[in-house]
Amino acid sequence: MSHKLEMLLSGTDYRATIMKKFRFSLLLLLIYTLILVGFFINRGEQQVVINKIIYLLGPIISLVAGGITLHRLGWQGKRATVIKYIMMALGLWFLGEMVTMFMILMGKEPYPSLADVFFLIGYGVFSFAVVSEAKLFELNWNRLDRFLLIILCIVFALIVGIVGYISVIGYKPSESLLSNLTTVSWSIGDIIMGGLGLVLLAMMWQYKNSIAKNAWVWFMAATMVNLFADTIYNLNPEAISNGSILTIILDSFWVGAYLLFAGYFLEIYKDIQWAQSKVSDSKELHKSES
Amino acid sequence: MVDKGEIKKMAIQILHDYLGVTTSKLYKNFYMNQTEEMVLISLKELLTEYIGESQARDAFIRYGL
Repeated sequence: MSHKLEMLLSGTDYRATIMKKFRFSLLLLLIYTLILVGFFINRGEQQVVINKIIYLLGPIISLVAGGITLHRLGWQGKRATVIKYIMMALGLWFLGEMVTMFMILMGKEPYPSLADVFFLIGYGVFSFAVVSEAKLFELNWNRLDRFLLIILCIVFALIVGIVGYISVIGYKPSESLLSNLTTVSWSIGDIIMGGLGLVLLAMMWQYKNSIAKNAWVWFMAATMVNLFADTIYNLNPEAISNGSILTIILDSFWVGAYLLFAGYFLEIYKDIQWAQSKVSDSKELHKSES
Repeated sequence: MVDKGEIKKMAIQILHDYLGVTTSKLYKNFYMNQTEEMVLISLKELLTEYIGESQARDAFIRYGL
């Protein structure tokens, strides 16, 4: 193989260089730590409101990361469509967070409210995004290891069981129909989220020897952290704004999930940068040779 | 399998689907001065790294390369 071809085909060195230049995971970890510190600073009566404002950094950062990635990727194409769906879902969640914050500011109970509608539609859009990603990357369930498939089925059954149980015990005849309906809808949303996480796990397994799977690790982690926080929330809906330690714990998980979504976007950004740098360096090589 | 003249077009289509329009445009300019054989080798190597060996093989079959 000629030297030119070897240079053209070897991507490992370029990738290593890019990774050294841009350690976004450390940046996200630093931001997360600062947000957590912000949550725990005691501000007396203003604690809940200020924490909710700090909390908004999570969805904002994830949306900015999505925008940066989309700019690098280009706005057209199948992958761009998937990213746009995920951004749309995050945008809906951001609206939900804004409504929640304003209701807390006005001293009203944010559950149930319009915020829940935004959150629940967001789940639907997320489903569409993950299905589109699975179609683009040709997820083939038949190729998966039998053992993994059995594990996935058991985990999904467990998620359905636990979330279903929480939904049943969350039903309170004394509450309004809207309140009970919202509780059930949240449970359905959580089952969807758990299912999406398992689809992403299956994709990671199918693509285990590839660069592409790294982004799904972030995405899957985001869905699982979110599912965990939502489950706690379903058990204690009042904790969303009552200023207890559980409010801070819930917000910490949710903001963590948003930052994991940002990690998903930035991982794709890194992949695109890697692929583009390969061709750019090859062009430089051609120029220097001619 | 696609005609020889279609190879570059399909290679760019794969890149467009997996790595976006900006990357595919970059490669389109680069592939213009490459032979079909070179394009296939380059694409196979890139896809093998990006989506893994067996998935890259499947993608080649799916796109008729």
